[in-house]
Parts: sequence; structure tokens; C-alpha cells
Amino acid sequence: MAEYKSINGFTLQDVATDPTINTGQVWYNSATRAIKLHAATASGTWATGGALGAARQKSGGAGTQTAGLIFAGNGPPLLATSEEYDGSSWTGGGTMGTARYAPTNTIGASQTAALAVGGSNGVGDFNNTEEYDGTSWAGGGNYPISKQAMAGAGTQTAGLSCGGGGNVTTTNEYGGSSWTAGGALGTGRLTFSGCGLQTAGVVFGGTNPPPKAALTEEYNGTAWTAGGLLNSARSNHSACGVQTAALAMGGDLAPATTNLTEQYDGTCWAVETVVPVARYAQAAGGTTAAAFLSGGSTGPANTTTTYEWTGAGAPLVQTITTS
Amino acid sequence: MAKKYQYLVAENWGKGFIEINDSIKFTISGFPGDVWRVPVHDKHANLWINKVLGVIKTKNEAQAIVDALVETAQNNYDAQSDAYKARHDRPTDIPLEE
Repeated sequence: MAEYKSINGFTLQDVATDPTINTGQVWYNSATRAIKLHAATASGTWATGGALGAARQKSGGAGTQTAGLIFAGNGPPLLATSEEYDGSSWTGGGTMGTARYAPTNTIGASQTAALAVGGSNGVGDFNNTEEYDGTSWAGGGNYPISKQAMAGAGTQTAGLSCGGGGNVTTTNEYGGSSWTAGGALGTGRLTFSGCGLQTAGVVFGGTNPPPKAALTEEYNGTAWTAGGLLNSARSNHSACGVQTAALAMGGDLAPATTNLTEQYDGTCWAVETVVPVARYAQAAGGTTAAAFLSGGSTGPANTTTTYEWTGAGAPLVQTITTS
Repeated sequence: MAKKYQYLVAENWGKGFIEINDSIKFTISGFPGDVWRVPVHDKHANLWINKVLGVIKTKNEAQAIVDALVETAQNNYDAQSDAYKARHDRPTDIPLEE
């Protein structure tokens, strides 16, 4: 068998503390008397994050794992509050003008530039839009129809919202001050999720109703086309990412709540590591590399729990053993 | 049938309760009532139980905790209006595996 030096041109490093990350590097740690290497994770992992101040479900989410935002939702009571995440803990953000649940679930790639549209107070649906600047919420252009449980994508100045209660196929695009009509969804549905951009969006799952949908549709800024099917049809799940790298997390499988995670590559959905606790109607933000998933309901109760997703390929120190 | 899992009760305190390295080494599944399930006879799982100060429960004890919360939620659901029921699913039983 070839020696390490003849392959790499140098002998194994002998160090007292593990070196900084360099995937593929091998070294001997004299303090722990172990040969170690820097590898990468083969699949995604979930870890717990900071707890929300208020348990809630059917909230909106935006931002990233280290600069996240959750707003509105149903505690109960109906919430107008927002909370901001720094990757460790949640702190109170601005209060919305209208308390509501089930606003369009994900619009806004930024904690400091998010968009809330539609939703319900249980009596009627809303058409009002609110914009967040990282400190306070201000009114935006009204959505053309009053709707809850829509799916969304894009940003505060180039947003997208579609479908919703009544299984409508309607899509509308936001330009930062007003909504204009876009291309119609192929399949009208509600309680589904979306992510990506206004010109490269993706929506999936939902209720049609019944049954739960596995359908994915992709938007190019003008029209929707069919994408790959989710492995598990579901509604009230969460989403984040972009059109070619998206996550679907948790949700309702009818009748059971699920902990299933799936990752989309722009063509197909692949089953990924499950969320530690099955939940539906959570808020999410981030990418397939790093995301957060907060709140939602386990069935019996709404939660304050946050889980943090780290995608496959994350650095990992392993100890080499013989057996 | 050989037992695959062990159950415990531990309060999820948030950041650091489950870490990435925990998730890499073994599967942690959570249920209502702060009930957690991890593999039995697993060194890393046992170290995690110690870290979170988990209180070991038998499968039946854990099931009773979960069932009590689900039953309360089902009773609350049953007391709701038809309009509410049309928009929400009834909480379902959560059977735990041995």
C-alpha cells in the first residue's frame, strides 16, 4: 500500500489542535491521539435554533437563517407582531397594521425588505399589502382580490402571489407599489408554498381540494409550466430557496402531519433528512444550503420551535478509526 | 422483536439542544409533550440524552403523554364550528413505534 507521503508529497501534519477547514485534509491530533480528516456531509441536517417569543402557525416568513423574519399568524390570538432572527435568538420587530393569518407565505429575500399580502382573520379574507423595512410596516398597493393561503415568490419590489382560497389560478405581480396580472396557474390551489424570483419562481403542493397536490409549477415572469412532482403530496408545508434549488418542509399529508423534507433541483424532488418534529403551517426562509423553519403546529399545539437546516456538503471533521 | 428505539422527555431549550453533529450521528424524532425518540444501544444517542438531561420513559409512558395531548386537541377540534372544521383537519392519533 502506498504511503501517505508518496501520494501527497508531504508527511501527515502533527498538530495539537484541529486545523481550519480544508475539505480532504488529513492530520494527526497529538492531543487526542487521533488521525482526523475534513470531510463533508452527504445529506442535509437539522439542528434546533432559538425559540420564538410567541407560538404561532400560518405566519409569513422571509430572510435567511442568520437574518430571518416571521410575521402575523394565529397564536391564538390572531397576531400582528413580527419577530426577527439573528441565527441564535428572536427579538421583537415591527407590528403590522392588520393582524392576520395565512398571508402569502414567502415573499422577500430579506429581513429588511419583506412583503405581506392577503390573509384572513377567520371572518373574511384581506386584500391589503404591507411592506417591512426592518423596523416598521407600511401599507402597499392592494391585492386585486381578497385572498388567503396564496403562494408567493420574489422580493418586495418584484414580488409574485398566486392561487389561494377558492382554488383560483390567478397570479399577480408586485412592482413595489401596485399589483398587475400575470399568467394563470395551470392548477388552482390553496395552502401551497413558493419561492424563487418573480421571473423564476416555483410553487408546489397544496390542496385542490381534496386531495393534497404533489404538483410543481415554474414561472418565467409570463407563464407557468409544469415541473417535477413532489414525492409526498402535501399542503400547509413551508418553502425556501430558488427555482433550481428549493426545499419543501413538513406540512399536512392528510390526515397526518409530516416531518418530510424534499429538495428540488429544477427538475426532480429528492427526499432529504426529515425535520425532527412533524409540523405544518410553519414559516421559513433561506436557501438549500442554510434555512430556518419556525413555528407551526404539531397537531395538538402551536409551537415556538425553530429548526435550522444545513444542506449537504457542510464541513465535517471525522476521526479515522480501524476496525 | 428487538427494541429499536428509546424514548425520553426533555425540554427543547432552543439553540444547541440538537446540534448538527447530533443529527449527523443519529436520528432524533420529536413528538408532542417534549417526547423524543432516539436509537437504543447507540453511544452518541446516549450522550445526547445526557446532554439534554433527558428523562427516560418506556414506550407506553411516552405514548400516554402524546395521547393525552392529542385527545385534548381532538376534543377542542370537535367543539369547533362546521366552518372551522371545513378549513382545518382534525388532529390525528400519533402511534409510537417500539
